[in-house]
Parts: sequence; structure tokens; C-alpha cells
Amino acid sequence: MSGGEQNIATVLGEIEQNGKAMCYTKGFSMLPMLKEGRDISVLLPLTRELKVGDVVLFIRPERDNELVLHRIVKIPAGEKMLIRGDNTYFDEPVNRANVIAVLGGFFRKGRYIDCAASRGYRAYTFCQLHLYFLRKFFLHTLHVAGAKIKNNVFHLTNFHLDDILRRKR
Amino acid sequence: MKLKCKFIVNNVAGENIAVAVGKNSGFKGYIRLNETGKDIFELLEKDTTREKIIESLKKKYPDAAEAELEESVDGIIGKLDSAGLLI
Repeated sequence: MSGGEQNIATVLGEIEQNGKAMCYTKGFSMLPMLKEGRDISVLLPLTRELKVGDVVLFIRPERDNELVLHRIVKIPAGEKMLIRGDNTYFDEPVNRANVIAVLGGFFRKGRYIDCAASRGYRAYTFCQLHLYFLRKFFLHTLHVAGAKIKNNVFHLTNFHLDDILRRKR
Repeated sequence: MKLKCKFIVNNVAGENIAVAVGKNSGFKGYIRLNETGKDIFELLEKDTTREKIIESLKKKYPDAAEAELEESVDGIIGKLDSAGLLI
């Protein structure tokens, strides 16, 4: 059994036994909502119809069956749905059959936030879904500006070094 | 004895889950608690003894058998101690 298959078996086994599975998340793709090593996500079985805004756990068969926890952004007709991380900039088409659980809530700094009951969470989801273009625009601008500043500093430093070396000669 | 770090007990889908809070909690994970476990956990927030915990539980659950309460308290204290969560 590969590492991915083992993780799937663990999550499904835990859900079957306790009605839910709880685990820490890894990576940065769900920032600022879920922080690696700090927040515990609570995963529930798929007992209801999934909707846009739900955060789901799905399998990526092309990458050794790794498990990913991202948000549904669009459900078109057909077998696939579009899913995106809160801190990523691309929509991933995911086969419905590869979705194995839905996020019921999460522990943030010790406090449990219920996805269905928390108003703050609902407002956050709304922003994630409807203000994505702003996030994409501003963060992309910041990244470009950051890269430019980095390049300028690098050129400036090189220039100074050349200058100093020339003077020494 | 008392708990080494601060825990918050949350009700998650009908189950009591304790999670450590604070940057230096030294504990990563969560603890599932039943009703008695939750009571014991709350009592362990302040410095106490095994006997005081049993006494408090006897008041709260007058119908429970003493041996059963003692077993619950010893079980939880033993598990917390072996995880290094008691001081």
C-alpha cells in the first residue's frame, strides 16, 4: 500500500469508526484559514449534496493518491467540479468520485469553528468566492513589484561591488 | 497535580474534544473525552489531588459506584501522566 492509499484508508477508517476524522493540515494552500501545524481540521462523511463554498477532501490519483483539502468554486454539469485552495490561483477540475469527505469545522488556536454555524466563516467563504479577482490582482501585483525590487537591489549591490573593486585596483 | 498546559474543551458533533492552546503548549494533537473525562479535565485545570477529584465526582454523580469513579479517574490521570501532560 502506498503512502497515499494508507492516508485514505486512515481517514475513511476514522470516519467510519467515529463519524468524523481529525487531522492537522500540511502546506500553505489554505492560508489564511488553515495554518500548517496549528489548526486541526474536522472531516465529515459525504451525507449531503455538496455545494459551492464547501471545503472538501479529495484524492489526486496522478500524484500517488495524495489527499488535498481545497474549496469548491464551481459545480458545472458533468462529472467534474472546480476546486481551488484559498491561497492558490488556479482552479483544478476534480472528479466527483475522488471527493471523499467534507470539512465540518476546524480548530483554530484551540477554538472550534463550525463551518455551518459560524457567521465569520460564512463571511470569509463569501469573500473567498466573490472577491477572488481582487486577491488575484493585488497579490499578483505585489509579487511582480517584489520581484522588481529584488532585481533592482541585486543590480545595485553588483554595481557597488564593481565600483569598489575598480577603485581598489 | 494539574495540567501542564492550557486546554480548551470543545463540543464537536456531540463529542468533547480537548485541544491545547498556546505557542509553548508542548502538546500537539487532541484528546477525546466522555462526560466524566471532561469533568476530570476541568478539575485538573487547577492544582488538585486524586482524592479531591474523586470527591467532586461523587457529589456530581451520587448514583455512580465508587469503584467505577476511581477507575475512571485513575485511567485518565494515568494516560495524561504517561503523555507528560501533568505537573
